Amino acid sequence: MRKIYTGIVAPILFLFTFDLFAEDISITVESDIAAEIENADENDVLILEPGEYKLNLILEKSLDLKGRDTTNTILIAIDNDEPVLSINGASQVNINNLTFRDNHLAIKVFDADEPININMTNNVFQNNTTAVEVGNVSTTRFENNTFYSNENAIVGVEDERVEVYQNIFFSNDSTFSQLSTEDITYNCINSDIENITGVNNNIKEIIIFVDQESGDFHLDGDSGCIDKGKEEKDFDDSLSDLGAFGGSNDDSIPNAVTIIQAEEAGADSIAVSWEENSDYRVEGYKVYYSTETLKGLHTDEEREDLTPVDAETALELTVTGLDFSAVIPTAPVLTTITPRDEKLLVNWASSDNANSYTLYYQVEGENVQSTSLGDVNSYTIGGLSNDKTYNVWLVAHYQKQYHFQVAAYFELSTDTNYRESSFVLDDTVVEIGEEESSSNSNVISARPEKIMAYPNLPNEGCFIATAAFGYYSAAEVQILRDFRDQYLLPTEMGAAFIDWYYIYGPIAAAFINEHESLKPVVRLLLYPLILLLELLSLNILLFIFALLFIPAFAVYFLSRKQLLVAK
Amino acid sequence: MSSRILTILCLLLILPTHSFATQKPVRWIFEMHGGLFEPELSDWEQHYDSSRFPELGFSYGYRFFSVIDLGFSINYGKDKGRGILSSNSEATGEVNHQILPVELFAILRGKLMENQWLVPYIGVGYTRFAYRQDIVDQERIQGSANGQHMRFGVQLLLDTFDQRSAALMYQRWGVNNSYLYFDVKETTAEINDIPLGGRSYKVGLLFEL
Repeated sequence: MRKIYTGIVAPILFLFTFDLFAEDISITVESDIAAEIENADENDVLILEPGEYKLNLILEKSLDLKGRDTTNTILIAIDNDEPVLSINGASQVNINNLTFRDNHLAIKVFDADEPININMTNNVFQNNTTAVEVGNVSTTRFENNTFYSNENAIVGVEDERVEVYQNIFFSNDSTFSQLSTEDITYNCINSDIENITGVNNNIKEIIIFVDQESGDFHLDGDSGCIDKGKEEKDFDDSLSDLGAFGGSNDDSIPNAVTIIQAEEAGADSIAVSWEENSDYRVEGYKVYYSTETLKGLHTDEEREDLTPVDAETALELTVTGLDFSAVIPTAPVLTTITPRDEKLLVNWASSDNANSYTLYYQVEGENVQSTSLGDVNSYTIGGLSNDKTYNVWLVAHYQKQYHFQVAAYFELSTDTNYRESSFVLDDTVVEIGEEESSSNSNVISARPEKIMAYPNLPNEGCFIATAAFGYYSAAEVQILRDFRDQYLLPTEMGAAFIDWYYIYGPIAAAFINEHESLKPVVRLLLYPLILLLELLSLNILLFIFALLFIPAFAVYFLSRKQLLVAK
Repeated sequence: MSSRILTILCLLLILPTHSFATQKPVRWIFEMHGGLFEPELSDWEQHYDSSRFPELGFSYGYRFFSVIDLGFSINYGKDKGRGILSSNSEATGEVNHQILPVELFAILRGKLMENQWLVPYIGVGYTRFAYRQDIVDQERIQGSANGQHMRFGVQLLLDTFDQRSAALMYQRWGVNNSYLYFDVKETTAEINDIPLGGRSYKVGLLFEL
């Protein structure tokens, strides 16, 4: 039995102690990251998809936090008094391929009694007051990060131990401060720290990024930080480049390419030109095109159905053999029109080949009105009159369009595939020829109308004032209603007050209604408020003056009265 | 309805005098309750998918000689359904119907001895029945009406089942007795001849302080 345990069970249990079962969890900007971290197991890898994340996270368990695309995975604090990332109590944390931008404090590593290891690799720290503050922990290792234009790059607190290796420090006010144990080697530093630069293989070199102003910290071909690392770990098996886009954990993704121009260049061709990507690793460009949108196709898998044209190192290309023939869309079919208060909800079945619609509506004997719509199949017509019947119909349109994106690429030595850049946010669209339109759809007549709740109960409106002034449409009540709509409703506190008032107001109003003698008293109490609000509607300065004057007058009046009594 | 209330009021007046002598004097009471509200309108289900909806509330009151409770209660209920078009009664749109009945109540308890573990009760009271209807994309509708209610139920003395916890409740919170109670309440209120009331079935916890 003992043999079975030592032979089979123990090795299995041993395997479980390692992170063989660590899971990759994909996070998007819409995800609740705090909840994902809460639910994650130790050693799981949280992969942040490209996007701008606004958060203050606390890491209390051993996890990897990794961006899919360093340049485009940006972390910004919601509460700028707190660190974006607080590492407190986790024994092993890896922070990779993220950009921390415009924060008061990007990462804070808290003191720890237990031995812990923090690795920060291939991150960009840009325009932070303090990029990283390290507490008293076993080891914090900074490998291949780029620190750009921070007030403080790395700040120590006490007996921390830091290893700083293959990073770029550029244009920071203070590079290292209060570090007690330093192991700083193979970094590119453009500062005047004489005791750091020039020793332990640190270099004071020309640092040239592709475009630091727009956040592209890939290295330009003229940069002095290329192949200056300790080991041969780069994508091309050369010595590692320094900074966030070198070493073995580099995301290997060039930055997106912006199209300068795309226009018709013949009977079946479109000429495209784009900006150069001066990342020294870029070997060429591929031009993607389609009659459908290309937006959001970031990965190789998402692009596998497309056939791009390889422009190699050129910065312009004419795509030929395109089909410019136009198609007449079929007439759309209106399916339903649902009445709402001063609105009509219109639904229709999509037409074949249509990529836009025009919706027409008309009251018999009046002018036709129209709205241009994209490729949708429902629309709400607003601003209508409840006592009129509207005839509604549609026309479908087809405009031949080609969508273009250009991707920069380079080849990995360890991978037969090319690595391509992401696409820019919006496609460049070229419209070809004249727009073709369908015949009219069927016509449906409909009349907007209010929806009644069940049961159909009366609305008692502005309760207390209505009760005090006797009727809903009193001018004084209208002033209060206007104040509610203009000043209270748009603010959170005002809306909360209205919610509270709408619960308890009816009770007070009912009481006033049942006690006629109370009405003059309530009116007397409401008049100063109404007067103030009337002033507010006339002039804000008059209102402020009155607001200050009335209490001042009251204080004066009371103090004078007390003086008279004293005398 | 009013004749039933009169009957109950009469019952309240002819209290069993012998029970006054045997019971402890006044105590504050606090209740928390939840259950279902079944509107009086018979076709509620056609518009809101179910003939009843959840209702929660709390009460605070004063207990005289262990047999009469006087207090107030605030309740809240919410249901979600569809509206109707006035032209053809077609069901459409989204409606949130909320109620907020605020009550003043008097209850007569059938408590004849100390540590009586099952106490029946009946009660009546005044109801101010507030409502709110939110129709998506339309102006909010709200108002309130006067009404009355009558209720009955049983209170189960929990202290008899777990005396240790009961002692702890007294030490920590000053709770003399705790009851689990089951309550049925009929509320009558109307506005423009439309009935707002209905029947509530509730379970609650009552603490005698």
